[in-house]
Amino acid sequence: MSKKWQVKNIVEEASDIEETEEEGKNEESSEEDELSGLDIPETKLPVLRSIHNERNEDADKLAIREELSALTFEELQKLKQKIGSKKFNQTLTGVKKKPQVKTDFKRANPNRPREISSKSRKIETKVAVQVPKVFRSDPRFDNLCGEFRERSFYRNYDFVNKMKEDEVKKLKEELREETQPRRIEKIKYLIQRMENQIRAVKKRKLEEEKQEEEKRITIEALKEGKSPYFATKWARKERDLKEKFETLKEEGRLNQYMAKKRKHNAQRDRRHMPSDHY
Amino acid sequence: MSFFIRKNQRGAKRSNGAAVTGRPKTYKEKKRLAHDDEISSHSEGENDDSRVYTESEEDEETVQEKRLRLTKEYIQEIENQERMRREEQDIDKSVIAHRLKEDLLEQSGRLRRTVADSYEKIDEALIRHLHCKDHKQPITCLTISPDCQSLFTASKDCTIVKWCLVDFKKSAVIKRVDKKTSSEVKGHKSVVQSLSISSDGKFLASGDLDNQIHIWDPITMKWMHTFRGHRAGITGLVFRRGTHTLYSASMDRTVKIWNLDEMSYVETLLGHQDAITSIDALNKERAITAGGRDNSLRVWKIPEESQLIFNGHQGSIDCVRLINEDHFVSCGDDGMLSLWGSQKKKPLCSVAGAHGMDASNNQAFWISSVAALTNTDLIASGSQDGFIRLWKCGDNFRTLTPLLSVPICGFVNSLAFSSDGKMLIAGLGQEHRLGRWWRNGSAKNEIVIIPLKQRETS
Repeated sequence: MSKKWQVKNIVEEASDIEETEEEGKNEESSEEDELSGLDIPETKLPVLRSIHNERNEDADKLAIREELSALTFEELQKLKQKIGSKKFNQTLTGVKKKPQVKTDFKRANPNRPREISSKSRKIETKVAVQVPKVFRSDPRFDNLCGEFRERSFYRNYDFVNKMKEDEVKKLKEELREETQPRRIEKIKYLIQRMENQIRAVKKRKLEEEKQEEEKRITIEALKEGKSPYFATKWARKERDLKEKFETLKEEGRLNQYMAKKRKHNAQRDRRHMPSDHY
Repeated sequence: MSFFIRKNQRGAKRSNGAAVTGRPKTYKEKKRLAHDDEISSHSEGENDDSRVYTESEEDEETVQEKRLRLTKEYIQEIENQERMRREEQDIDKSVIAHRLKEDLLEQSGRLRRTVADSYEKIDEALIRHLHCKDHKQPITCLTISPDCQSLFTASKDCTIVKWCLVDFKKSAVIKRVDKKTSSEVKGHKSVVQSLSISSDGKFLASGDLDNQIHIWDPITMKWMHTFRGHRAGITGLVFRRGTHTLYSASMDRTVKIWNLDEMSYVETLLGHQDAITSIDALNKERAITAGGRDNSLRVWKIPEESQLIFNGHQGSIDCVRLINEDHFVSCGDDGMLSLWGSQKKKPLCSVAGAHGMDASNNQAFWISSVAALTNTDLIASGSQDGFIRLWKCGDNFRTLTPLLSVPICGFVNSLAFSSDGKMLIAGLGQEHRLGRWWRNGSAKNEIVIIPLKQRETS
């Protein structure tokens, strides 16, 4: 490192280091911080640095003097400018702190002004402008939100599905008028998605209705005094198949459906057939 | 003859034949003996004792005589001063006594004079307006030299102008400097927000928003030194009276102390939570700063490395001035003018809406500057409502009563009393010194000198 470079960059370096100091470092002795900003090589001030690093109270005055005498006048001036002439003189004479410096700040009565040290870099916790701290809570784990009830949730937010249906209509209209290919893609994707969601909602509603039917039957049976009716899984499946059959027949898609089913089953069965592989 | 009389007085109490060598000689005796070449021959016995006594008495006499001589000279000096002031041949003894008492109180920082009531209504015809082409933009700050002969003002166009207060004309200018001007010509690159002159008139300090403090020689207006070290703009500068110590307050929330005898940086004081808006100091090694929106005024005890925190105001505290060593006044953008005492953390007296309400937004007018006549009970405050108001602090600084108002046009960005209390100087502008929230087109960017006249009390 040439002396010229040192001279040019000393202030910049010092200011850079000062910035990092201020950014949330814990309170350290200000002596330590100030010395670290200097551009005098490490070898030159071992005793002085050790004092500040270890906060050794019994520093050898002569040793400091020797070190300082080894520095050039330029470096001395830099040191003085950096740490301030008050501290510089104190280090030279070996006086640690003037007896006037107060450490115990106790006031006579609470009406008097508060007294604190003027050298600490701590930020007071009572800040002038109070920004309210935002507390976020996850409704899944928050006790205040209660237990999740699917039925009531769906009932409360049913209106969204109605909005979806309206929006699908609007999107279809937009699609007709849209020319940009990317936008068309997006709209198509959205429409597909929304239609799937609507279909799923309808399916769910059907399931719910069936369950309610069953419940109604059992309640009626109980009322009349008969034993309650509980449907088995197979009974339910059979009933569903029957309904499906009926709907397909009405729509006229029965043949198509049956053909597909046959093909699918054939494929599955073929797996279990012995093959001519060997 | 007196020698023998003294001897008899002394001799009556003393026992015969006692040796006197054991008696310790006083410091003055030793000194005198050391200086004299001829050593007086002591003879053992009676004469010795009396001799020694008389010598010491003579010693004390000379010291007393010296003291007497000095006080006589001092009184003579005061007499001369008073004579010059009052142009009378016979000086009243009580006046001298009064003056001595005042000096003592001033030295110890306890002087209080109640002069506010003696001020007469201001004759508007005598008010002077000072303009110049170097101050085309609003005046931001001003300072009066301690001998009241010159005035230094700075404005938003980065210039500093020196005015002569005898003939009220411009004496010198420090012009704005930018990238194109050579580095030999010194000046400010950005708005000068603070000015201060030392109490012996040897240094003028100016601080701008470019983190620089320039030191000038006020007589020749030549550049002397630049202090760099602050991390943000400098909003306040003040010299400690009687010394060459400069305190600077900045928007980086620190106060820095500079020694102008050695042109060096001394130390930094930390503690404010928001940019410091104003600083003031008197004779003690203390400074008071106003911290803007952290609603605190801090008195910095520099030798003890501690600070006292005073809380008050609701908005930003914009200006603080010391009235005497124990009391100070502050103003803010909540429209409040507050009087404080150093023993209480809350203000002793507050006047809300001291300059009235702004009709356009239904809020109190911001009070942008305040000035206090040192060691008296007179205060002046300035805002944008068109008046400079003078107040009287009464009842041991527990009340503020309005005294006079001077009609002026514009924003009062800076106020200062001359040290003899004969002038109040205001720096006016079309805008507030810190920003352009409002602009008063009908106002002029000028300096207004208001002569204050006291009623003759016979």
